[in-house]
Amino acid sequence: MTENKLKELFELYGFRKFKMSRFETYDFYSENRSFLKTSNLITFTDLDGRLMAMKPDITLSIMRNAGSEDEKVYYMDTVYRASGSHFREVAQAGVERIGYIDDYAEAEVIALAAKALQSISEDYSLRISDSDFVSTLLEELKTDEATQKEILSLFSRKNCDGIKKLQEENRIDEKTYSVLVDVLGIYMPLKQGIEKIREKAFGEKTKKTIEHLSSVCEILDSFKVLDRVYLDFSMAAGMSYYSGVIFRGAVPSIPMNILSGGRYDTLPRKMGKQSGAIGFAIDLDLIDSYIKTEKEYDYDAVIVYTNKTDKKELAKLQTDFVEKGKSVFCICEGSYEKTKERIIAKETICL
Amino acid sequence: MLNVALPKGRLGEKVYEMLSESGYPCPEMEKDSRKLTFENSECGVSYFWVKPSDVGIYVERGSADVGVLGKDILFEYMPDVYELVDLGIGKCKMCVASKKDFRDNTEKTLRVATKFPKIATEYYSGIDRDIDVIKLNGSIEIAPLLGLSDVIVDIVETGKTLKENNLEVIKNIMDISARFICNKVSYQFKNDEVIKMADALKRDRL
Repeated sequence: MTENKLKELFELYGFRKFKMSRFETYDFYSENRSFLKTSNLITFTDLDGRLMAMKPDITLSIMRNAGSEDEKVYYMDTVYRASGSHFREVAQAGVERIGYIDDYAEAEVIALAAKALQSISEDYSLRISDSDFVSTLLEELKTDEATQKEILSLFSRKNCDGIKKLQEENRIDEKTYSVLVDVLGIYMPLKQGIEKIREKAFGEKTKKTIEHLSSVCEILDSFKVLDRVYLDFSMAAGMSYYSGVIFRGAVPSIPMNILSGGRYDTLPRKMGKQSGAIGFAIDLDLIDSYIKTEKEYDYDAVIVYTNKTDKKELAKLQTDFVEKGKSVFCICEGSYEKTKERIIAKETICL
Repeated sequence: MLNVALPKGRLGEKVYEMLSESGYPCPEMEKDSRKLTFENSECGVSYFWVKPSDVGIYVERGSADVGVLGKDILFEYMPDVYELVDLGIGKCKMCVASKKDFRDNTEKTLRVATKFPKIATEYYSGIDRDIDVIKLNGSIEIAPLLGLSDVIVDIVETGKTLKENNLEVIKNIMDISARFICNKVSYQFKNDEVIKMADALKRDRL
């Protein structure tokens, strides 16, 4: 259900499907380890003796296969990741936009993320931030490296009292404290958030980031998705993979983020491509397990036949149902007696 | 409606008192009963009691929108949640303690008994000391006395238990107090309610 809706949506926005192999050579992942969120891989030896790995990430494979020209691709695929002490299959859907990425291309992908969330739930939220904003701000405020690391971790937990404590310990000054608490306190509609943060006195670099977000914001307005897009700098911490705008999406019925994405220019650069990249992924398994499409019954009809039933008539009857678009389960009387409790149908016809 | 997970025990009761005074009372809870969930729809709150170490799990997975737990447990289990308010109650310290005559022999691996293996591991890897973590579930103080470990990493409130067992604090690792935590998605979709409760608790704290 969700997959079909997403597929349709991605194609409407000019993305084409990208299908790839379930595994890549192990070397490929070890070379790009810094771009993987996990270091645990399922490995096996191929028939020619090469060490292979089951795909833990899709973006890397797409990036390797993509040319250096503009690409707009989407995927619905499975990745293999460690979770606790076991490997787990994770179903993902997502898009990648590779090539020349300007404000428009960026806004288009963010708008598509919003529309994708909307197709899952009318009520949703998409939070936007910039992966480098807080660390750049900390540099402008001249905080030392150890404190910076601590502040980034406090940010990810929205821990204002922790920042207060740093000030009490004289590790940051009064001004830094007040700027940080203001920035961390922001969780508001994007446009309003940008206005609020503009009032603050920042350095050149952070100002540039804010102006960039502002121009993306204006384009998003024309895409008609701005009302559910929020500014939230608490997401910035520890995202070495991304460089630039990042975003996360959630819907009320699922207690975790289901969508995450952002700009990741460092990956194509590392692979020797002179291009930018932006994309997002949606966790389909989370949607499956939290959004139930509860059905009252498993089949529209159960037809119970006996040994004496005319099988030609039975086939006609079944065809009638199927042609009306109704699901049927034909079962012989003897087997039906044994499995009755498990077969839940809207109507039961005994021949 | 905000679902609030409270830790069973003294800390939870104290937090309920704070919330009750801040405009989130639930008279039903004050009666002696074995019920685990309580609701007061008038002020839009529903409480439930859970094991302290489970509060983080309930909040992370959204069964509770918000909850209260000690920083020790927050640090040990690291649930992916927001830590909105330091409530300033349930104060104590996470310490390294040993027998009074203990001298650390740095040639040997240090044996550390604790209920908090992650905190202990992280502290010692921070100072590059090789340790052997021994996870225990209670009565940690006995470990050095019986020679099970060289030191212990545990919560120290008054220091009375240590003193009576001839142990002493040799290092203070971190200060602990109760924290008001919030599910990251609830923060977005119930933002007004969450902020209102957090602000009420902050006022109460002052």
